[in-house]
Amino acid sequence: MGIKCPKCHTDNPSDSRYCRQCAAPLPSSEDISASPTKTVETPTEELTRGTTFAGRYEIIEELGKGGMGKVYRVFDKKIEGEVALKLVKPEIAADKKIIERFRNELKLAREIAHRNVCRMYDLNEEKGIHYITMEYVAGEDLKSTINRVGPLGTGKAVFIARQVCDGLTEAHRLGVVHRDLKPQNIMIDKEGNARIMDFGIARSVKGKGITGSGVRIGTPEYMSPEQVEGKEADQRSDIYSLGVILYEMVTGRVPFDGDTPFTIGIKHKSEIPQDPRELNSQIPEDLSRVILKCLEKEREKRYQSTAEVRSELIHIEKGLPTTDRVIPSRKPATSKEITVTFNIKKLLFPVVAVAAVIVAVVLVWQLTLKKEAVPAVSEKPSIAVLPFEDLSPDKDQEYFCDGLAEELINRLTNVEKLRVPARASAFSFKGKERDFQEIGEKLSVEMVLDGSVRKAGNRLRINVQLVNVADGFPIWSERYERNLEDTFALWDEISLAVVDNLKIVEAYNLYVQGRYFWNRRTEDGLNKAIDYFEQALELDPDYALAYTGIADAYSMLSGYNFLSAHESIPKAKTAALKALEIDKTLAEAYTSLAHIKERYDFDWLGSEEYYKRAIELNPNYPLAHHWYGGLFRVTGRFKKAYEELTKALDAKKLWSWLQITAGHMKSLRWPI
Amino acid sequence: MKKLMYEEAIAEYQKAAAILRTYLPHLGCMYAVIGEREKALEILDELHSQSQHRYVSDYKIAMVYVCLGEKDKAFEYLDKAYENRDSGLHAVKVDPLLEILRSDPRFKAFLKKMGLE
Repeated sequence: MGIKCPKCHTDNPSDSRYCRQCAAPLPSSEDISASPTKTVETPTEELTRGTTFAGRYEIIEELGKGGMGKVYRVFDKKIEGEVALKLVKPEIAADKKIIERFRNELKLAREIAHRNVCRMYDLNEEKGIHYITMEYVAGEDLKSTINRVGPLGTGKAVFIARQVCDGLTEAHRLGVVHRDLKPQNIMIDKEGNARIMDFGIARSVKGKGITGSGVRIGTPEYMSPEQVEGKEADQRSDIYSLGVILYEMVTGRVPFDGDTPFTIGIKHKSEIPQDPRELNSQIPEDLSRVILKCLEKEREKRYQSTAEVRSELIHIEKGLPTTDRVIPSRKPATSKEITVTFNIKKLLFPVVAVAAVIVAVVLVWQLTLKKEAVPAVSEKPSIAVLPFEDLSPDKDQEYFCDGLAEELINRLTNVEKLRVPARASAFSFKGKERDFQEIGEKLSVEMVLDGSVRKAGNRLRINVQLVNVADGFPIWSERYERNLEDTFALWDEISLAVVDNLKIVEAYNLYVQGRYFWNRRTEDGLNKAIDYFEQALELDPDYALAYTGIADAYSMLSGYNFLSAHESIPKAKTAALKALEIDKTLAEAYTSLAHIKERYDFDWLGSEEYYKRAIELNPNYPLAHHWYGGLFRVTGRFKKAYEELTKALDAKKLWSWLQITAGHMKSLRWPI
Repeated sequence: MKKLMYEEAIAEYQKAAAILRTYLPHLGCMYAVIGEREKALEILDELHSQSQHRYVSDYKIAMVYVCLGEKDKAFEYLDKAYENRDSGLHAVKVDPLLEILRSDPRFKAFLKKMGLE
């Protein structure tokens, strides 16, 4: 008996592993003839290539079959973009309760906006055929990858699992449990990133009628013991499935298989999985431990949240040799067609303005001579996203404008330490004149993300700006020009680019918190400060300011005799030089180095030169004056010392981040 | 009157040292200044024993010896501070506590070594 290719339908000899026509991996003939776990198929509507479904979806190709029905890659003529379309089998759609349940689940599932989750769009009906639309992800599902290449390297497996964890964390945060997580449901896109598909489907289809008719949703190999028992699944059930997937990624096989779903189910409930290291000795011990903990029979013994798994995976990743690690290939924030490119580091200073409240807290604390103040940690920058304004002559881009704003709201909501008002409150300003201060007050936000869309022919010009509510000035702005070809991709791209830039806010927030603790000048405070600066560097490894923070913290650890100079100064020096290497115009970096030269190298002239350079670059940096004054003092130039210390005090009074922003605008691309 | 102020200073340094061990040498110095030599030596012992397991500033030890009037020991520890690139040393030229060392030729030589003369 031959094997039909699931992709191009070519018949292949029964012992083939890959299709002779399109080289797609083939299911083994045993799978086809006797697979006990295969979803029972019933005839359903078929859509042929080139035809148009529901008046708008042009069928490009069939992507595969799921428990729910066939999936197609289609071109949505209405929005002029590709989407995935899943037909719901008639016997499933016949049950109104299922459709209703699915409708409810979809409402939740479509809230999940995360780069590691394939976006769900809509449930619709055309001539009695129900179908679901979702984001189309070009790439290969994880099962096919494993079938094709066998066990994955530890670095790759951990990288994928970590991304799946990220997607699950967001879904769980919104109260959505996947319930049918398996490698077939994880797409690896062209950049190598994992995207979880089919959220919200498993639960909808679970029901008496269906199970009664023999259709299984959920594949036994990946099912948690509680699901086998028919108990309600929770986030820990997804963690179990993730454990199975990780097991399969590193060993090439699932922990439990069998001839029937029943035997597999029994094994999930009672059999202890074989240690993955016995199957592949290359697996690090701690990874094996993580996998086995995910696979605990009792959910109380597993990790209780995907965040816990994630931090374990990150720890393991850090321990891997660099050559084994997977460097994420990020989707470029800009493409050829975007006329202006972002530069995260250059944007840093303008964006710092947004944390003005936090800085104010720090300043108040400093000016009140170290009286206890509320730590900056509790502050969260806040941004409201307004619906974009349609500036097209025909005013026909409302759909695009609102969709883009919604996409941005969803994305920003995912950024930790950022508060974003919900769509309903932000959209109440739709069509009204923009009074940013009023909007800021009403929505209690510090920043407003606003923009406009203008369509000319097939070209779209999108302007986005982030406005500081306090003074109504833009903190940054950006313009994109694109062909209106793929709406979803464009939404995705722009919102990702914006979020990427806003991550700087998060890094900056960490830097400010670090400086808060640094100012305490206690051993504990300085160590905490280093922690914060390092966290900021995790977000942006080229964050020069955070390096200056580390340099100054190590300098102070010696300065206050908590550490010997031999222990700390090499670290301080390395960090300061790194900051300078990243940004040769950074006053803070010169200040850090000047201090080290003075205090530990006894290089008085070199130190003075560096302080001068720092002050030249930023005359409002109080620490430069403070320490320069110190240099004058210890070298006996008391009058000058006093002058510098006075300047330090003045700079502190003047020291608002907006001024620093202005000071740094010279180095930015904006004409001033 | 002066005595009273020293006592106040000692009370403050006691509090400071209780919070931050790096203020212990200052307390030792104060004891030495008011003639409580035994207490100052106790603190020196404590500093030496602390230095077995963590960094204790040689410059500050030198300072206690200065307060005790032991110039030789003070110079010995200033040299150690130099070897260890002790952060307190950068103020050696202007530190009023080191007054009694200033007339000593070794002090001038030391400042020269530091590039401060």
